[in-house]
Amino acid sequence: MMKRSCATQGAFGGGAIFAIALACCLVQGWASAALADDAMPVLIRAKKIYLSPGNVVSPGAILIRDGRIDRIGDKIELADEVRVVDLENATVTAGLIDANSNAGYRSGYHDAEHASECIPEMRVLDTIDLESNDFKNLAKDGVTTVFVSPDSASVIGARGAIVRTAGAADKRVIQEASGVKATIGREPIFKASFNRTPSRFNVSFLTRRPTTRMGLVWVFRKSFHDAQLKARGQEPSSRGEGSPGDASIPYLMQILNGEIPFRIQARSQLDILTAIRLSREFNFRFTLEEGTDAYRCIDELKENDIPVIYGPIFDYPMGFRAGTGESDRFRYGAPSDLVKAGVKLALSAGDLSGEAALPMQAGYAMRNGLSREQALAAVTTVPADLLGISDLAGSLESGRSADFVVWSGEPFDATTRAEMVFVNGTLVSDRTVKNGATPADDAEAGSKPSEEASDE
Amino acid sequence: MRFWQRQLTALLVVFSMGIGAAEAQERYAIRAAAYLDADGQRVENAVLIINKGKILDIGSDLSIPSGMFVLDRSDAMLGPGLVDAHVSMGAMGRDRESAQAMEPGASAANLFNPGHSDFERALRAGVTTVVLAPSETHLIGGVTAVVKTGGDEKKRMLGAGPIKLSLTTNAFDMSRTPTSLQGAFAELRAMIAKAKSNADDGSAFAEWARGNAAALVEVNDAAGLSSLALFAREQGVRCMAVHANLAAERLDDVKRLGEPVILGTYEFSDPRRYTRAPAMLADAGVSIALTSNAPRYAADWLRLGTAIAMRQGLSRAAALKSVTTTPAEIAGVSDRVGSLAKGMDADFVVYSGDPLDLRSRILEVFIDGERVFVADEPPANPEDDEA
Repeated sequence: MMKRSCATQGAFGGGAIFAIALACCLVQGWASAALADDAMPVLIRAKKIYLSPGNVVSPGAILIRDGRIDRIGDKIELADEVRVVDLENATVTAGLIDANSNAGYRSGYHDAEHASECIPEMRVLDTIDLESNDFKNLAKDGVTTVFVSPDSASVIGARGAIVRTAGAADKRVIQEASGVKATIGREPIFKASFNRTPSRFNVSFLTRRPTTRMGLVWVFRKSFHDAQLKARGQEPSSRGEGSPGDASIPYLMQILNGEIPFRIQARSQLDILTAIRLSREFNFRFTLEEGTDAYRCIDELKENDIPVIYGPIFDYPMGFRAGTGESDRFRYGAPSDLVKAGVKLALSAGDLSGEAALPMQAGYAMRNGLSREQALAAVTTVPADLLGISDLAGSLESGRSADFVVWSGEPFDATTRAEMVFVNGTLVSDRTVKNGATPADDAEAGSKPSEEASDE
Repeated sequence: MRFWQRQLTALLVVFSMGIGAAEAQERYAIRAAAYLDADGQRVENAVLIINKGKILDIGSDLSIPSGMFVLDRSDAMLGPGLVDAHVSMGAMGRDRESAQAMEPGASAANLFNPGHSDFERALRAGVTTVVLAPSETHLIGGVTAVVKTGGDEKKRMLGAGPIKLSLTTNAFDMSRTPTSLQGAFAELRAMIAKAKSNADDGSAFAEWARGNAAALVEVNDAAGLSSLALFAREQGVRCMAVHANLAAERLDDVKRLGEPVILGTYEFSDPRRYTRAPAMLADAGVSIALTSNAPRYAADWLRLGTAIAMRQGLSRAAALKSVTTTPAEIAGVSDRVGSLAKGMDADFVVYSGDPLDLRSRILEVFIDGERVFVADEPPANPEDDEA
């Protein structure tokens, strides 16, 4: 243990290392004890705590009791016996929130229902696996809450779910069915299934619009138009062809009445402007998802008060994103431009992970003009606000469930990583131990790979 | 050619029955070295008394009324006829009505092909009662049928079993709707709401929707079990997971379902994460049934499954239950088949040794007191003498 702890020197670089290393031992001991129903409260001391963007205590302390933040601040008077964990060189922030995640989708199943292009009655929670490794990987990167966004294969898609990325299964779901997602772009046309031209041999439920953006907007307008007619007790004019199903009418009306959040995925300038035009026609509010070209529509976004869940930021569009041709005009400075213009901005890693995970997204945005406070807001308070969970997550306050991240240095720096992640007061990811080995340790371990493997 | 082979077999069977002469008797007794009781315990000096196809009495050293015909099997052991809760015997490739994903009105009773050779194979494996189930290619496959694998043709259909659903990837494709799991759940919610609102609907689906009956639900991955558990709790419906071989990874979800789980088919090459499931579930208090999924696998794989599961720690009692009483409960016929006890159907198997030992041969099989299978003379095996 000692040998390994000393090795953290490389990662932390500095004199206070030993304290951290020791703290790791303590936390390890505590984590296993907590699992064994040890009800003793824990006090965590850190060099710096971001209570919320712009509100920092340094040094600071958090007292965790029964999975909640009991008290938090620069000084905490202790009334009873607590376990103290000193993390002298570390920084703490609230757990990050990704408001546009694809975590938990399962191979082999279609992620969207193709029976119709308008399916707001469907729920993403029905199709995802909460035990998926996607969530474990998100938790490791410091993301504690996500909105699992519906697939982009439908014009008006399903309702997403707001879930925690770790913890007991029955406490993880924050909202079973939250916002509806619509997509304006190529994906409803070609993703998973091509809508078809009718032929003598091939007429099915896929013989339908859209096959172009004109058809897409037709389906979009038809859905809301017919929903309004049906809500008034009138029948749509065109024999019901292309009309939304009865089950989806209540949800379409809730969108028009502003009762449920609505988001539209659009990447190119054309599609973003189309989304804004539709929102003005039907008088609904929405949040823009992805928004690669959003920097080209700043005035319109500002004028209509449209928040943006921007991202992912990438070096070059890959995969299906490249296939759409909608991401070719990406610009690193887009988040900073949007924030400077006063557009409400959240950052998202979308389907990307590893070096493109959410903390790195914030880091890339900072590299291109966002301040640390702005970047922190874009992955904590702003997405919490957009998801309507500001009273649950996004900032650290006493009384809330203890979802927070212990960073090895300043958050989002390229040399910083999420060392420890807590969800509901439970340590769900701890990189201080396994990855703290010295090069000598690695060499030792590397020489006997077979022994390691045989433990499994 | 095959026709004549079958005729010849039938003739041979009739001859061998004649030699036994038991079938001519309405009342007769069998003496055996031992029998397996419902707990898998060996009861020595077994005497089984049969009256009109039912078990009149069974026990150790029972006195046999004078003059009663006695079959002497003193060198053999008796076990209950095995029950398989999920097969498509005699219906391979005909168990899918492919036009629609929802077939709540379909009935597997229409698949029952009593003369099919799959049933002869089942008898050879000691399987006497099976649940015929529609294939997993349907979200709602239809109502299963509980049938006996042999005996009097008029008595072989025991009735309808549970309704069968499937949440496997095979139930979804792009040629019909719904095409996805979320579409499936949305449609099921609508159908359940409709069935609940119509009190006159007495269909099997409506009974399931109201929580009065459990359904068989096929799943093909661990996540499917979790989705099913969430849905069952939300809708208050009862679901028995089928082919839930990764159940050990989602023990909480299985417990939450609170119904028996069907596992298998097990083979020796299966990874431990599959084969540990029976023992783990049984330890957690979950009822388990094994299936051979015949005819995709031979019916004999049912006994093979018990051996593989016992290797991973399943107790004898639980292993026997998993191929007798639990599948009988799933099929809703546990008052008739699945154990050797007074009043039950006289469906039993004569083994050369312990029924849960794979070395034991199946010598004879009886259904409703009628002998329906007799093994050929075994080749000489010196080890038999040692045993």
